[in-house]
Amino acid sequence: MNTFVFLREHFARYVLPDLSNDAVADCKRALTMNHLLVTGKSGRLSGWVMVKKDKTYIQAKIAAKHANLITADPRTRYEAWYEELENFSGPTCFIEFTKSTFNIGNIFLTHDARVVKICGPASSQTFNYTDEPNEASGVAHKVLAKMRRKNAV
Amino acid sequence: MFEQVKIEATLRTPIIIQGYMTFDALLGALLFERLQDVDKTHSSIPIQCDDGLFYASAAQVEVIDRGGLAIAANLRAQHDLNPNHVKKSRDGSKLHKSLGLKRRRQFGAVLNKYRTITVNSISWDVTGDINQIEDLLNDAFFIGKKRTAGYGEVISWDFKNSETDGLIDAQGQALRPIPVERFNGDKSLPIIDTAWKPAYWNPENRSACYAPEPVS
Repeated sequence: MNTFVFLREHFARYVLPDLSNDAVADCKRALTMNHLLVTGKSGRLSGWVMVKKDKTYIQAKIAAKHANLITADPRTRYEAWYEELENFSGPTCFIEFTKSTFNIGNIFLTHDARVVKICGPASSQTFNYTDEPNEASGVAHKVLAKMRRKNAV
Repeated sequence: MFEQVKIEATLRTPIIIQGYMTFDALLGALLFERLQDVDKTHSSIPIQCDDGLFYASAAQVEVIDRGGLAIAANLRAQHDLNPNHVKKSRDGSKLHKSLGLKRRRQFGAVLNKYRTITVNSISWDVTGDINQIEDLLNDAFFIGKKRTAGYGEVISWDFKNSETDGLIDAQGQALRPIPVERFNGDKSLPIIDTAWKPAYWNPENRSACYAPEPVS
């Protein structure tokens, strides 16, 4: 399945009022538009999103509702990703937000814990979760490895 | 007539490769210079193609050294941009004030970072029409990114016999990104999400694939 068809089915479908025939455009819209929040205000997605086949987790307190959508997830991004990677079970999209507008070209699915992709608005990090990080490793790899060592004791 | 061939470029300068740099992508870029049409370009690449999947490997290199390159590009609004594409004032008479037109510091500097690799040569396994490929390579004096800055200068192109078709090597490992449902080789390697057909920059062409490790 194409990356963006997957994301449209398991993410954009839950948060957009309508879908088009263009999966890339729908995903771009879902990642960059203002969403209605539970407070009644609206805002762009912030924090992190984790898209899986059966469930999609969103840290932001958006008002959208769907049986497969969990919003206002209280975990930090690293706690959520750590829990998922420890019991990795198939295609997952790890997305983190900053203040920058999302570049859709940085979105990738992770199919294997040996090639994890953390997708950010301006770049994406790639690492082998089963390997120890080195000096050149990104923040996500270092933090997740630290959590793994800590919880192994 | 298509033949299996190993194509080798001997390089004079370091090269900048982003992604896999499959041989169909390289020929596609050369063809686009001539045809200026994306669809015509993709249908004219002289390499065996099976429902979008080209029999052309990713670039294969033996890296001697790795380095980095940072280039600051200054955008000069009056020279580089079509004014029709720049935001205007409300009355439409002036360009957006945040994009300065007089001072260099107002142009907007963009810092681009690249990874360079030093190699003696770079090769690809391909099933294609050698005569047409040779014709296209006559125009290829530089390959990779930042060619106008002197990176990826080619001294010569050589053709050798190849034992593989450009998709899978003798050990069953992928030589290029191949969608999972079309891959019949060694499936012990991780599946990754990547583009498997041109245009490789287009997110629509991404899928779960078996693929070799990228060069950089």
